[in-house]
Amino acid sequence: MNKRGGIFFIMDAFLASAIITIALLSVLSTSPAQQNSVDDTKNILINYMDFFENTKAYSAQSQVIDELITNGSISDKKENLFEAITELMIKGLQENATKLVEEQTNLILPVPYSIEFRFNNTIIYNRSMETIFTAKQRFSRKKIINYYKPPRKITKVLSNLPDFASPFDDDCKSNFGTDYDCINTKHLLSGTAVPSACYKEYDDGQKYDVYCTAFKEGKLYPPMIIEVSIWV
Amino acid sequence: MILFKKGIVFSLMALAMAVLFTTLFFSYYQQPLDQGNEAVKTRVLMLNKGIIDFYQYSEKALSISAYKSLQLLYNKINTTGNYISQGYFEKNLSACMMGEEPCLGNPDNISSYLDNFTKVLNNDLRVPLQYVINNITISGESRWSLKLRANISVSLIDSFASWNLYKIINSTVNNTGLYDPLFTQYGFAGNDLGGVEYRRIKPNLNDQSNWDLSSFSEFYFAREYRASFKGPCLSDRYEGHSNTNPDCAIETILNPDVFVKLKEKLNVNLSQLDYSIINNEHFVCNTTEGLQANARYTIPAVNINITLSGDDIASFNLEQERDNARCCPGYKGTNNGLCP
Repeated sequence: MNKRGGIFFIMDAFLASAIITIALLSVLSTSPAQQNSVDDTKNILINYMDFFENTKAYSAQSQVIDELITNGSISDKKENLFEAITELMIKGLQENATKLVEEQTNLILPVPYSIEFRFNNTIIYNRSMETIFTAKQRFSRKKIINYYKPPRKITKVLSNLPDFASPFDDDCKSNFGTDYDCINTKHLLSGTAVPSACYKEYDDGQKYDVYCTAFKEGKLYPPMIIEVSIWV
Repeated sequence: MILFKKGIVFSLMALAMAVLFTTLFFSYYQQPLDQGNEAVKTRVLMLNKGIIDFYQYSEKALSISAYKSLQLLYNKINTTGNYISQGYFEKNLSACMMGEEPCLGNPDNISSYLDNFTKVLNNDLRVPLQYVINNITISGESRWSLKLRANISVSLIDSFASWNLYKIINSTVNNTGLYDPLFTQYGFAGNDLGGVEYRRIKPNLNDQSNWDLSSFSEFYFAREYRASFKGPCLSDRYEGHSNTNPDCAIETILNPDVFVKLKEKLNVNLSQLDYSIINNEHFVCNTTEGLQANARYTIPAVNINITLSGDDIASFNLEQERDNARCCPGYKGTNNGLCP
């Protein structure tokens, strides 16, 4: 009888502790700690977007961006990273845009987080640590990009040109397109600037640096949308 | 049997304690006030951001539309040979920006830009924004730029919130790279300038015989010129007012790679006039030679106190941007273009 009673006590203790455990779990599952984790993910996304919006191309510690500025793919180093990505996409350089996003993302987004970076609904970068369908938390933000290029002057230099045959103006046009005009030349021997030498009127056999310039019309592009999703 | 019954009692007690714990916890657990409203809050913030973005885009649309309109007005002057009637520049410019006469069908009217924006807001973000441009006015100008002001109303009605507001948008348009109507005319200013020739070129680019390119070549190449500090205001020039001052009324912008001295300054967009002053040179235009290079004088002592203003234009104290004052009709060419 006593033996049987002991078994009941043990079973009862297990039952009681199970009930209390279930109660505690239900309490803990709604605790602020869980909420904090959700806020963390949301803040990481906000910070990620802010970083791209507030970082100028010239100030980003990036080999990719430096190369893109040097080769002219990013025309204005004062552009923020969103604008730089927009410019690359407008120019059809999606691969470069992907490289830029990948490099910066790896620098600032911790590894457990997955990310999808879309430009006008085109996925340009995706880093999946787990599938989006099984993610515990997932947040998305959209950002409208107003991409505007004001009217501007562009100057390019042709070096070491001889001063015979056609005017330097033609050299500008044949190198850079009809939009370009010769604005000035520098006599390489004397080092002096000769504004009217665009017409190659000094037939002294010396060479010149020729300064070609063009005005680019300003352009306001239709608004574009960048959407970033982060999940964990 | 008694012990078995005790077990049931203990189990019931444990169950009761668990219920007590849970009830106590949830009775003290304060649900954040905004938790239930998170979705609503996010939606309202998104709509509000949509309006902010719209007005930011409007500012740029205002500038680019004005730039294209200046281009169209110049083309009109160049084609017809007639300047805009006195006092009608502002009206013509705003009409052009709205795609109305004299620029009927202007594809770069401001509404076409704003329609693009509202379409994206509607389709991609489900922000049903509607707008009305109430008016566009010129709020100030310099020799080479206009300050514009547009009053734009916005209406946005959503299930959670609605907006009905208007905002004044300020923007600036610069005539960088545009042909300038004044300096495509040729003629004599007459005796009011002491019998001095005032050199201009006729407003017909197709008729080369009317051009005096020889005297203008140094200034006109690459379209890099603009009115000097004593020239008439930008709007005046579209109305054909040119004889405001016998002094130099045109200048070019120089390349600092060529004129290396200019590189000492942060601003690369310096003018011929600025450069001349740095080099103690001065173009005197009130001579029969007009703007020819041989009219270049050397000034022995020039005070080189240089002041840079803004990102793009070196002012050298020559040009004061006039925010609140603009050229007054009837006072063209007097009082430096300012209202008396």
